[in-house]
Amino acid sequence: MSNTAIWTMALGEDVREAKDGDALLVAAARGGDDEAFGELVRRHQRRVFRLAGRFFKRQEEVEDVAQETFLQAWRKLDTYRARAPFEHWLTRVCLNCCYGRFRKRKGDDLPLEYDLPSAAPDPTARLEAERLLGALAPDDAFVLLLLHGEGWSVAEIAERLGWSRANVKVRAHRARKKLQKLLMETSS
Amino acid sequence: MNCKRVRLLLSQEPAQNRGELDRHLDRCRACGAFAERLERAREALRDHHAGAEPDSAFSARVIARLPRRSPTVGWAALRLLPITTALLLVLSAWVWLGTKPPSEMVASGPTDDLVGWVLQGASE
Repeated sequence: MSNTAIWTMALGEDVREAKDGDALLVAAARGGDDEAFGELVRRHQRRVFRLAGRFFKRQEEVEDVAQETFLQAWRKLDTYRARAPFEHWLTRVCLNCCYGRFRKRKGDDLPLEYDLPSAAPDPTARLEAERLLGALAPDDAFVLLLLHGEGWSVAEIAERLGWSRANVKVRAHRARKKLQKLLMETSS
Repeated sequence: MNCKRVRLLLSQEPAQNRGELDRHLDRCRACGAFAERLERAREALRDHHAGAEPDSAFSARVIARLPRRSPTVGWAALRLLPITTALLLVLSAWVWLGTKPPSEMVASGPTDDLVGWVLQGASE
C-alpha cells in the first residue's frame, strides 16, 4: 500500500480537507516522506499558481515560480512551526519567491504578450496595467499588485510578506502617488 | 477643496472625505475625468493576472525535483537538547571525579613478574 493511500486512510476523506491534515502531512514530509509532501503540493498548488500568476504573465514562468515555491518549502520545512496554518507559511514562501524573481525580471526587456487564453480579457486594460507597473520601482509595483490585485490591506501585506507595516505603508503611499502622477500626465 | 487636494484624496484608499469629494466631482469635469482614469487603472491592476492553472502532472514534477531528505525528528529533538546536554555534563563530571590523579596511579613497587622479565632480558 502506498504512503499516500495510508495517509488517505489515516486522515479520512472528510478530515483530509481539514487543516489538521496539513500538520500530519508536514510531520511526515519532515521525516523524508515525499509522498506526504506530494499531497501537500496537490492541496495548495492552485493557491500558489493564483498568487504567482499575479506577477508573471507566462504559463512557463508561473510554473517555474510555483515549483520554486514548493522546493523552497521542502528545504525549509523544519523552520515551519505550526503556530499558524501551513497555507499562511506557504503563502509567505511563495511571495518571497515571487518578489525575488519580480525584482530581477522587472528590468528585463520582455515581450508583453500573454500566452494564456484566460489572461486579462481587455487588451487596453492589460497594456495600461503594464505601462503603469513598468513606470514604478519593482518594490512599489509589487505592493501595488497586492493592494489592488489581491485586495489585501497594508497590515495583511506586512504580515504575509514578513515586512514591517511602516515599510509597506511607505511603499504603498509612494506607489499610489506615482500612479496619480502617471494618470495626471496622461490627461494633460 | 481644490483640484490638487481632490486628486490626492482620490488616490488614497479608501478615499477620505467622500461627501466633499463627490460634490467637487459633480462640478469639476477635469477631476471627474481623473477619477474615471483612476478607476480604470485600478481595474486594470485588479485584472492583471495570468490565469495560469496547474496541470495534473505538476505535483509529480515537483516531487521529481526534491532533493533527498535525511529523516529528522525536528523540533522534538531540539526540545530535548537541554536535557541531553545536562546528562552529558553529569556523565563527564562523574568520569572526571572517578578517575584517580596520575600521582595516585604510581605502583607501590615492581612486581615479581616485571623484575623477572627485566632480569631475563638483561641476561640475553
